[in-house]
Amino acid sequence: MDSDQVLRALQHIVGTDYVRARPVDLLVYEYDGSVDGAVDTARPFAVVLPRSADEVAAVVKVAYDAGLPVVARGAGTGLSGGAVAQQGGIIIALTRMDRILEVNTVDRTALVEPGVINLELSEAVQHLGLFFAPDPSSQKACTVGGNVAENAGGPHCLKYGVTTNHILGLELVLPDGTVIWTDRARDGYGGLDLTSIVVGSEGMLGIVTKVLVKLTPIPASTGVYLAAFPTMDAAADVVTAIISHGTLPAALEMVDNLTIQAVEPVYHAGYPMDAGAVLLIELDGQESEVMETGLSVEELCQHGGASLVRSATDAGERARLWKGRKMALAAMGRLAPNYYLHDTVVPRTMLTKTLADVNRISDEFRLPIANVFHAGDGNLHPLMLFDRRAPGEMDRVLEASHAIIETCIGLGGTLSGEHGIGTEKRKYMPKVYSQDDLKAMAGVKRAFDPGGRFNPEKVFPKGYLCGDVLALATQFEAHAALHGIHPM
Amino acid sequence: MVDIDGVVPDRIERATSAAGIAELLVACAASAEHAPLTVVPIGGGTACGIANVVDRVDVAVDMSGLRGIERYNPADLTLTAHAGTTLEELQGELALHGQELPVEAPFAHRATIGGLMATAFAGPRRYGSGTLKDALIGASFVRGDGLVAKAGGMVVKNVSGFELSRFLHGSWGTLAIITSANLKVTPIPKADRTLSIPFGTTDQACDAFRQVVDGGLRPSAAEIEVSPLESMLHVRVLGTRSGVESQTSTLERALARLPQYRRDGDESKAFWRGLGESWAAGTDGTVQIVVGVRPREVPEVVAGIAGSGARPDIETLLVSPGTGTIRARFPVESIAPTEFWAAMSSLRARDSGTALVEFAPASWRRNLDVWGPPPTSITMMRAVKREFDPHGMLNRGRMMI
Repeated sequence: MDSDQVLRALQHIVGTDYVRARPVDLLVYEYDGSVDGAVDTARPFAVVLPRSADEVAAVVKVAYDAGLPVVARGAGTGLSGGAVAQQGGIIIALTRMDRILEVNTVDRTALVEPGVINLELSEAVQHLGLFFAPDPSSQKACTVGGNVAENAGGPHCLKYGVTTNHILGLELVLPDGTVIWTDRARDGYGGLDLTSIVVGSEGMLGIVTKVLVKLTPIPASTGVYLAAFPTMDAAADVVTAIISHGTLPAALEMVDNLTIQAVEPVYHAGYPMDAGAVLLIELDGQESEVMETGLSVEELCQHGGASLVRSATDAGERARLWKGRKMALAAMGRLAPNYYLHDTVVPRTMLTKTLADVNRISDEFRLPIANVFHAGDGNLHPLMLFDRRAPGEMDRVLEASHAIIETCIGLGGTLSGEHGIGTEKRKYMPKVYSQDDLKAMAGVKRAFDPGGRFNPEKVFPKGYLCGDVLALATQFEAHAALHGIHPM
Repeated sequence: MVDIDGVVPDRIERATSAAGIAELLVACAASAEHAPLTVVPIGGGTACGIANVVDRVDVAVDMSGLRGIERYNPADLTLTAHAGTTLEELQGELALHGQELPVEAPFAHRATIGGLMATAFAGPRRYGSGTLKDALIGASFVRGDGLVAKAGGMVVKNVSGFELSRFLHGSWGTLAIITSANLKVTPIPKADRTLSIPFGTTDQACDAFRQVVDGGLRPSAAEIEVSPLESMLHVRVLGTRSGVESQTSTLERALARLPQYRRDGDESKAFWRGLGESWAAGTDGTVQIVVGVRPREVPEVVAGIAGSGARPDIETLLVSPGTGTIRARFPVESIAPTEFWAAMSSLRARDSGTALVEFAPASWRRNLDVWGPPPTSITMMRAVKREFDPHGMLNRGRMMI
């Protein structure tokens, strides 16, 4: 099939209006939310916007016959390059598949298409007293399908769990165009738990065309506490104290002084400008529970040297306290033209040590680093401020980023808590996994996608999983089987 | 003496390390080149009877030697346990620090962490606290082909690569032999209360459960025990003292009546252990089926089981209105295996549900596929199986794949 034939076949499936192939139309699909320089941009051959699972399957079959790679894409808000078509090929943009198909209040589930926007799902079920718990910062734009691909998190995942804890089943288009359902295994009696392996697989195993999500009851009562501390260390110690005390806040976020300098003058969230760090602690549940745990939290903060503890129970005041946290990234423009937001996780008792090391890295590489992150999970978001136009600055950012990753892994941490690996961190995978660990993961990839056609050049280190390597491995095993050598 | 459905394995190998298991599996694979071989990993043996009956077992891998907690940092609320560690042993260690694994699987003195991960057993608390899957942050395992690998890590939030540890949960020893699990744990709830409310019918009990959860109650467990006389709804709440008090009054308000029984603290815990265990093992002369459907389908399916022909002899039912799990037990002579599946045909037609024989005498199960017809995604499951266990040795013939 030549390119024209492929385009005609695609147009035949979804209609001419929904196939994009002119360079000017492809430009916006060359990026996602990641930082140019940390992630390469790439131009797809074409972008297709299907409206149904059948159309997705038909497009996948055309790609299969034409030998083209396929990359699924939601809103493109990802921060690790997952939705960029590194080897070109066809991008299947799922944003037109944005219907909420069914909401069931008895089961507390919704069956949705992958292009439904995260926040819009919660808004649509709010009148039923329910919400969709994963709340990534991009929730006003990101899609449920993208959340599934990245196993997205968010501030409230501390209590409610990440995306995988809220997905009950998936409709999935496989690389050969077949369509399967994965919701049978939820009780352990329906065979392998395919849902659990597909969530977080970054579009490498299949294209999700329907999602059965769990909805969570909106808590009866919510309280937000703001606690200011003279130093980040003091705040980090209180995080550890709260977690080990037995209180499970809905959210436990830290905002450092540099971030306060950026947000407070514009958003007036009430964060003291001279604080080394503030903690934002949200508690929810029955009213009496919120009051009871609120008292312990207040005590733990005071005991940990807080210079100020304030609580907000009415919705307006709660929103104001949260505003400083939520608008932090937007406010960074006041401090520098560019920023690079990192995402790593360390064991929670290592927070103090990690933050000290991040400070040291900031000094060493002469880069201001702001910290605004999910402290309760140990999920750091060091944010490097820089100016791309300054010669050599991007290189320094990448070196500092390397140093941060090394530090976190050295302290028992991992590469990513919620942004995924994509292309951004694939080269670091051997730092946390052995060759055999990667081989075990690759076994799943081969089972789902033996041709290596779905979202190539992601997650696995370069050269690890491209089509040639897969073919070689298959040849080797065939040879080994023929000669009685065990393929190990 | 280890026996699997009355079959004594040709060899029993006691595992002492992942490397040793790998060596064993590679050696097994070499003989599997010539003739099919069945290798069965065994933890506490509490789930050995849930499977298709096989004629022979070549090698049983006894995991009880791989035992103990490898590391535990109470301040981080994370730990690594070897697969052969019993749940009771683990909870005992955690309790010293006021913490627990929020999984109350039956027979905790025998059930092992590896076994719970393989079988997805969790007991009635599954409704509110989830299963071991929700506590898993990483695992180590040996694939059927002898590859020794790990997944995840020691942090509570992790999206670095595919979620293999969660994937192995509920895989019934068909892909790999699990050697250890990394788990996140929680502080022990300060208060524990169980309220039991009798109803005339299962429909009424299900309706009451809906009222209770719609009224804002967050039960940790809810089960309806159905006998010919009544349908008793048991609801358990865990939390802070004031939280449990206010939840109790929420329930009494929602139902406009007082519970018949109220059990607190250890009494509540013991009640659920007893209820879970009474439904977690076969008893002589009975067949136990388990059906999993969407919660909204529960009343209809309960009625369906009642009309299945086995009705006159059904002794009791245990219905979980929140998770959609229904268990029914009836005397073995009341129905033949083939008639049973015919009676279950309406359940099998549902793509969303599962229906299988959980416990029955081996003789009754012998000519039956206890797992029922596979889902449409079975082809994909088998493809993964071929990658992990290319000689098809692990639990050969016993499980769905």
